Amino acid sequence: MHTDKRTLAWLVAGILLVSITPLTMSAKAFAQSGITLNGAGATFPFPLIDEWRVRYQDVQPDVALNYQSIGSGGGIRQFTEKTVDFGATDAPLNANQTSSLPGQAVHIPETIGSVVAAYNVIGIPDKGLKLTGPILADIFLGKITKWDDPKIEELNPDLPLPAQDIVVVHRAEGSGTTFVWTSYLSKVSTEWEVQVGRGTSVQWPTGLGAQGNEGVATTIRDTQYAIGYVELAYALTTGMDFAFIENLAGQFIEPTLDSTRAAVAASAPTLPKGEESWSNVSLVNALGQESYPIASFSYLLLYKELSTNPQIDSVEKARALVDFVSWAITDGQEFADDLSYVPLPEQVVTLNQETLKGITFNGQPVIETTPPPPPEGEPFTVTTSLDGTSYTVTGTSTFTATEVDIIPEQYVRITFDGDGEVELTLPKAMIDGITTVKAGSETLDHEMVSSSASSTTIKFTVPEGSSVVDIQGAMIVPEFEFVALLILATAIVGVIGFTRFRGNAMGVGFGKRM
Amino acid sequence: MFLGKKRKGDRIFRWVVIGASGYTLLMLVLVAFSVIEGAIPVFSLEGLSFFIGTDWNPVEGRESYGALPYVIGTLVTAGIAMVIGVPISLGIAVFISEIAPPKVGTPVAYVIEVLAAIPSIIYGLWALLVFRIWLLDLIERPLYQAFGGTLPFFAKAPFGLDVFTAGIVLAVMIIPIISSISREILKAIPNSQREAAYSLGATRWETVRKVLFPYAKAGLLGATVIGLGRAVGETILVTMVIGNALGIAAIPTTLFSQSNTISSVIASQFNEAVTPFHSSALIALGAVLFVLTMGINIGAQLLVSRMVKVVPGGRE
Amino acid sequence: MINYQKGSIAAVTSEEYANSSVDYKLSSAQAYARGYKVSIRNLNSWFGVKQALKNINFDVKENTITSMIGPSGCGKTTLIRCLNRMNEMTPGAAVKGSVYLDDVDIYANGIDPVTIKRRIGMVFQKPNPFPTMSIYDNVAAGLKLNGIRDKKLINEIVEESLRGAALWDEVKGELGKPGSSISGGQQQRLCIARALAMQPEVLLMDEPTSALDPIASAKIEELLNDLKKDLTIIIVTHNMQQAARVSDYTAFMYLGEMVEYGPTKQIFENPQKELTERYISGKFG
Repeated sequence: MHTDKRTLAWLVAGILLVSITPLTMSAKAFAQSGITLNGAGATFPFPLIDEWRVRYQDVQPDVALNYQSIGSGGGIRQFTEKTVDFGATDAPLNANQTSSLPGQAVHIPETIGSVVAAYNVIGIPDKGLKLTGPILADIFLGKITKWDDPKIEELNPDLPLPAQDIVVVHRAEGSGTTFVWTSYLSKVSTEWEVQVGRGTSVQWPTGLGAQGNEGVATTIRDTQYAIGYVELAYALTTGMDFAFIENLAGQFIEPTLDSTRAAVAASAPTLPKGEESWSNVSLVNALGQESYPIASFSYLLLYKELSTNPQIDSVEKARALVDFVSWAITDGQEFADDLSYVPLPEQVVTLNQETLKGITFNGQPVIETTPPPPPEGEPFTVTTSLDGTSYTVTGTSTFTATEVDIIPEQYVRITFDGDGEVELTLPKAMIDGITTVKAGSETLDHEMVSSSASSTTIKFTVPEGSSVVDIQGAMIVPEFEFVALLILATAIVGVIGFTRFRGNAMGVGFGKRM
Repeated sequence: MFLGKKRKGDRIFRWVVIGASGYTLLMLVLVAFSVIEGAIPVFSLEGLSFFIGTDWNPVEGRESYGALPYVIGTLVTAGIAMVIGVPISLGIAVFISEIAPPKVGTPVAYVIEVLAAIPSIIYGLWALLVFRIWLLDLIERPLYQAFGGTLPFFAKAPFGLDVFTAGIVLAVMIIPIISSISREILKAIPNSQREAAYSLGATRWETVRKVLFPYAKAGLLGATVIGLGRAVGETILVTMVIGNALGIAAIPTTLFSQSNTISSVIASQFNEAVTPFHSSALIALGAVLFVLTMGINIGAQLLVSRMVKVVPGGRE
Repeated sequence: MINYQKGSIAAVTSEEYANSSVDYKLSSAQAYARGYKVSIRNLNSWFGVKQALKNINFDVKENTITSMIGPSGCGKTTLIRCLNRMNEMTPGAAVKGSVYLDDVDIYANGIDPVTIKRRIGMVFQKPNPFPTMSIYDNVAAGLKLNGIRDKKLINEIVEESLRGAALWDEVKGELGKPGSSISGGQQQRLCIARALAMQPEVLLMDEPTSALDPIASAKIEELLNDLKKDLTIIIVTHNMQQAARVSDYTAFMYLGEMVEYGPTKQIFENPQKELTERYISGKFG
């Protein structure tokens, strides 16, 4: 009995330790970053936004991003209720939603989605099938029920279409993907428009409903003669079979990142300004020879006057939010390709930048129109090497840096031959997530000028009489996550080992009990 | 002094207990209030025909909502689950407590307890990825080929995602629950009852059927109702395998029809319910489910209390 | 004062039983021929590794009452439960040896324990009527189990059994009431009636009065004397006065062995073994 209690106590202590570890981790993260930006909404852009969350740490270590992918509807609701700093939605706000907002909102397209018609028919190879919008509408209306229907055969004379029933698969829950899909069907089929219409969820005349892209994909994969719709990114990463779709120009277009981008580019001239109504914006059935016809923006939602939302309580936070968004639509687009997202075309980026310029906080524009002047002086370059790799630091000032030293896992030391204002560009391979700049024991104010994937540019003033500056960052010290994982693993091993050693008194682990 | 202290402790205890019970009442009132309040918009749109309506159109400007298909879907799936699950559960319980030697019964009972603790989403994933395909190939297709042309029950080409699958997976989920409770109930029957039956020359089966089941029927019914409650309220598992039809298409006309249950509709649509009517309709569905489960519980309690009248059992 | 009941006289002299527990003189066939209803030969029983009965041998004469006495844990209940194969229902129990009912070994291969129980009735320590059944149905339960559907016949047997158990007059107006709604003593007589309805040849009673008050006990004891006209009764009791009052023969058991078995009068007045004498006189137990 006594050992039982002891073991229990240890076990509880162990569990507490394990459960507190992530808390301390996030506390540390919080301590590092003064500002947390909260967003919620669509699930479709979540992988991209999550990538941004990680990458933006390198750009702005002081700003943490927290995005909940709860669905477009939830995102709009939370944005309307002012519980998040920004919303995200796959469908633009409609008139009703706009009228229930507490203030004017802007749409910022942050990425592009396209939807493919995926199928599972024995004998029809990947991308072998050609379909048109009206045929898809008839299939989803339950009017075309056989794979060897004359309308399908006419388009695909070379394919061995089976005389089997078509199994229609759609999303069970409301989703932006459904919105895009039904928008397309409504555009190409009057009957669909009249009978069903477009929405994040609709009254499906026929078919199986499945949860999420995964559910639809799994159902199609496991059900012969099935056809359904999934996001392009999902279809590409899971290697599903999908159809060529006829576009407005009469071409059968393979859904790819490029053909989707072409559709956006073709539609770009007709896009409204960010603060205007976007409810009628649609990329489906876009003009252009190369345009894939089933595409749509995914949007970030911001209030034009950021102080509308009491969550945004300081000009610093307002600026952090706008800075993040403007990074996401420019530098952030670099990460889209790898994740099978379509990067925004130039025209849309420009449009977004115009929109961001119009955003205010307490009436003042958040983005400063005049960029900070570069420091006077001449550019210079210094190089150092460590473990066979050489690192180059460039800078601009009236004096030059003479030496760079890397103190592994602690800081980078730079020696100057003068004092005054200096702008330094440091490679990320050498130091990343710059936190502090010190001259001796004095901490210097530093300004983040810019950041790219490979380097960070900062600006600070070398105080009079000092010539040595130490720069500390997140990357040169061992990563905290690693330490935390180590603690966690030790705790788990310890608890298990202890209970084992204690003769299995808690019944942890099976074995002796039975 | 001592007496006074004790009384004070009693008073505190009393208030704590009253507070605790008041909490449940308060929660009930709050839930009822917010459900009713949330359901008002859809009733203003549909009136009482919400209960018998078969439409479910969330497209803005064409909105129309009716609860009937999901009430039917809920009852049908739960019914299939009970028809399949209850006999098997009782069989398992009888096997463990009456037939199997302890060397076999104890591990089996342990496994059942473990199964009962598995979260339903695990069953759902297994059902979606594995089980429904077995079911389709081994049961649904043969049934369809054999009876599809003659019996209306089977007159639809099966895909493995339908009320039949949902009912069977629900049965799989509730079997461990019902059987582990039933086993406890059978175990609690005094041995003297078994001996009395055996001494009259009853076989094992006669003992179980004529003595043990009647003795424990209130408890076994209770176990069954707990299973039914789980089956009616189960959400995620059903959503994964029922085919999620909407509107009139969700009224199952065959065993292989796609359908939807109340909780499954709520779960799959609430996140993206953007119009006030849509979310209100889902809340009203919640109210219907609330009434339905309450009705089942009250019905079961009436049944039990009628049975208990015949079972004073106090002298045992 | 001990009030001896006059029982029928056994055809075997007490000497034959005197040292009988190990080496029994009569074969089972001889015993049957001499009018013995039940003959136990070389009966051993175990619970797991613990031996509960050690080589028990004795014969029970038809239409007599035989008592089993002995201190708690001596094996008397185990023994009686071996006589209708009830013991094997207990997990971990094992039995070796023979029990002859007339000339049939109930432990022989091919004997269905269910049919044995229909011939050898049993009444338990605590009254155990079926609570969900009415008084009537309790008595009729065994008949229905045996496939008797004739309503009239069942009615007759129920009444006869309740009369036999001296319960008829007390419950005849309320046969539809639940079996558990009557008093403890009545419940026990109901259980006797339930056993009698099967028209058994032997009735085993395992401390049937231990859970009852003295008045209810007296009623049951009275009843036993009437029952033995039609039945052979074997009763386990921890109450020596009861054994002396009701039984014709008494067996004293100790630590799984049958120490002494003989006419009740002899066991109580002139025991052959010192152990018996010490137990009877209350020196241990």
